[in-house]
Amino acid sequence: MGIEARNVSFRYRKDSPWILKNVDFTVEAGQRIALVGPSGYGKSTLAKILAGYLIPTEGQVLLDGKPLPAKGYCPVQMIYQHPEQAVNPRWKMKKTLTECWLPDPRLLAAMGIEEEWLKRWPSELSGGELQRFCIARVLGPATKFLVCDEITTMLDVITQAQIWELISQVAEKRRLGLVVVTHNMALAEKVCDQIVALPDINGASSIGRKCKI
Amino acid sequence: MREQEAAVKRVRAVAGFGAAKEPRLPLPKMNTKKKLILYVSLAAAYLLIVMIMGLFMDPELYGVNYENKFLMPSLAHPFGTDFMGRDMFWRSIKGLSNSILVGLAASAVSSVIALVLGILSAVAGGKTDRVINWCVDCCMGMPHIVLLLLISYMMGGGGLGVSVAVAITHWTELTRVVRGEVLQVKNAQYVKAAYKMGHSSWKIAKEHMVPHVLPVYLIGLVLLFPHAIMHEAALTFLGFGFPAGVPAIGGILSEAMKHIVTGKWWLCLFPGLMLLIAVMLFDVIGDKLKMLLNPGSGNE
Repeated sequence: MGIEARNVSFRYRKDSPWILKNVDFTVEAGQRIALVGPSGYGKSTLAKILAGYLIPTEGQVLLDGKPLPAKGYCPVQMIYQHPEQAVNPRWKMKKTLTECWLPDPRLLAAMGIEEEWLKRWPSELSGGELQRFCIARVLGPATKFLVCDEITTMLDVITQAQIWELISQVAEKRRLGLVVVTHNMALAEKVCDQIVALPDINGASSIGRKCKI
Repeated sequence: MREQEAAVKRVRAVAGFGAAKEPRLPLPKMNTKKKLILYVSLAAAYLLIVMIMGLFMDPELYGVNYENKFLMPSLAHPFGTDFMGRDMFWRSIKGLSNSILVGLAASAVSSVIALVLGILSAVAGGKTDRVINWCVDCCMGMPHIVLLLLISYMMGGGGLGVSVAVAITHWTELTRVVRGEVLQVKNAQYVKAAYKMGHSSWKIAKEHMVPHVLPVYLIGLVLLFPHAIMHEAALTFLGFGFPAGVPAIGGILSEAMKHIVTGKWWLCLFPGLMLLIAVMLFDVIGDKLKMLLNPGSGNE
């Protein structure tokens, strides 16, 4: 059980520079991996490729040895940095929350989602509050892996701690695989059991380097 | 607690609030939403009444009557009469009704063209997108009134000419707006996430895309009206629209031009005002709808 990126390379156009070159990357169920590195090294791109949002230019992403499903619920779910862009501004929060499953009230209480928020529009909630919805939305039983792309970067430290505490608990209980993209080394060390740094492929040497774990 | 309440009551009494009143500043009687709905329905009612009155009007009401030439506005003729003794009130209503009908047809045709081309352009992309954008640029690059004149003249003028001209030249801006909206929602994170959550394209279109594009489309449609009406009036004013026998605001105004120097001010004032009010009301409806349908202000 795992996601495996095999020899993945990515660039947006034929004439643009490679963002990822020959990357091998595996996450097993229950494993928590932090992806770190300076801006522009392709962390988010790799995250999107792992979650199936981008198709790699070369190589492939396999889930349990098979390509990611093109249709139906994807077991690899991604949570974004900007929750306000990840919810439909014209939907009340209840509809957003129950878009793919019905979270039970205990989980909502644990996530700090108040009953009263469900009746509001996204514009009436703060970023931290919205992010809780985005996380709760994809914690359904069909989710096996979570790709978290800087999901707490814009939140205050207390909310960050609460959210990560909760994700860690759920991940442990359900043996979810986590890919955590972050700039925060302290967070990476605290939450994850492995830290991977992406190499600089557009810097001094433009030859692809392998990043293997 | 009792003491506190009593104290509050005393303060309120001093401040001029009766004891029976709400325990805070008096709220406005209607919230913004209700007020907007009231405005929109009033404006729509006025325009509908004018349109229906014009449709089912007895032509005798604005018939020629040479005994009553150039009467000042009075109770019998609220807007006065013209050089053929025709009652200007009924003529203006009939004329405005004609304008609204042309506007209706124009909005219906233009908005459908805009919707189809806008969605096609955004969804197909590539060459289709470029061709459609080129057409939009071409139509927008030409002075609108010249294009209207050419088409109306080509169609032989008259009611048909002006309707066709107005109907097929108002789609450009709305096409751009629809294209932009569809592009935006297509690439929105929540739509991409919805695909990954296993929803079908049909469901995503219905739940995410249509509710996003429809309000913009509806507002664009309503805001097309004033343009169409003004252009109809302009074409008729210039003599390329409705023939002289048909009451039309543009025709009335161009006739009034000949008499304004002799002091027949009512000939242009009232019909002009009616046109202005109709155009402004459509604008009000469009603006208020925008506020009502926008989630940012929908709950105010």
